[in-house]
Amino acid sequence: MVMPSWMTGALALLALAGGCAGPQFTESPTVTLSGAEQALKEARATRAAEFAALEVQMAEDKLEQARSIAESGEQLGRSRRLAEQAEIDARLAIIKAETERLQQMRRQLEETIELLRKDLDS
Amino acid sequence: MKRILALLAVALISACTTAPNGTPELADLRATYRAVSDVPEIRANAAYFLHQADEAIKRAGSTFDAAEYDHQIYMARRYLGMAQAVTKRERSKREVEQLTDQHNQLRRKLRAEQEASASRHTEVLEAELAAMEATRVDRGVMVTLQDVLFTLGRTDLIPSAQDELRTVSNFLRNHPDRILVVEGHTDSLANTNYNRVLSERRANAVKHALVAQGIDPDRIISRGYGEARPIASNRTETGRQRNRRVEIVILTESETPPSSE
Repeated sequence: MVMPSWMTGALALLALAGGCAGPQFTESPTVTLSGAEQALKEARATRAAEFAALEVQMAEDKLEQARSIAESGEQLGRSRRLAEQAEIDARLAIIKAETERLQQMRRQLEETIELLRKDLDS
Repeated sequence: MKRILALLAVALISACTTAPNGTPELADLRATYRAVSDVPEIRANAAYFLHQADEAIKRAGSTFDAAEYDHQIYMARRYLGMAQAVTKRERSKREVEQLTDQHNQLRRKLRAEQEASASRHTEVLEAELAAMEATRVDRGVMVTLQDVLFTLGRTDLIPSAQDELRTVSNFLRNHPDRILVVEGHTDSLANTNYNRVLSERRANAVKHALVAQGIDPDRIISRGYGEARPIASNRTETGRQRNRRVEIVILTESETPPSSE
């Protein structure tokens, strides 16, 4: 996945050409792909799909697409965008799942507290 | 060549002027951004994601690439979603922390109350045992019924024995987890076999009297030892009188009941 130097050169040229187009992304697709891979790995490890199935699925699909585009060596911008989206989809899934688990804990605690109160009153 | 360059420059400048800064989509997104970043709780918990959303909105507003524009719009929405999600997660975390504290406090309080009630329980128990004139033995506490409570040479209890047993059955009702052993003993005057049978029957009579007072028969084990376990000399009348007895042993909670023979 290491980018040939001519490709880096071409990217730099592209960046120059689009000078007036605002900030440009110099991050290579390899970097963005690994960010998405890492996020998805965490999402799987924390079983985020149990609570945020849609976001995890979106992330998986986008990462796969990003990978195959990156391998073809063309449309690097598209690969980078897909990888960025995959990463944030996965991160959102992780946060949502964490929140859902905390809410479950909260409900359990509320129930136990209710029981303890009853025990104390009796 | 110069003409071409000039044309190119014009093209570039015009391209710059058509940056999609003012699309209704962006206006909407900026409004959402303001609304979300206006919430102090979100600002406090998710400043990073608000910043990222802002950056993405700026990029969307200045790009000429339609795909990049769509991408930055998507990312900005996601960053705003993250800001809200992270805030909700932090709030849930705090709620769980508070409830955990509350839970632990209640647990401590309940334990303290249980301990207090256990010690009250023990005090009550001591008082009850004193009232019964019970003696502490290894297995638990023992109440001795003297043979004057039985009709001479027979196995039925005299009526006043019922009162004596009522303190025992009251105690057992207050402590439903206790098990007791009723053991009959005799002196050595009659033959061994007769004594054993007599002692068994007397123990049984006591058991039945307790059952009649409402105690579960499964909690009472009765047995007769005859003359085998004297507590005094059988050569004197006072010694023999002490040996003719029924002992009621209320086992301590940890004591396992002996199997019935």
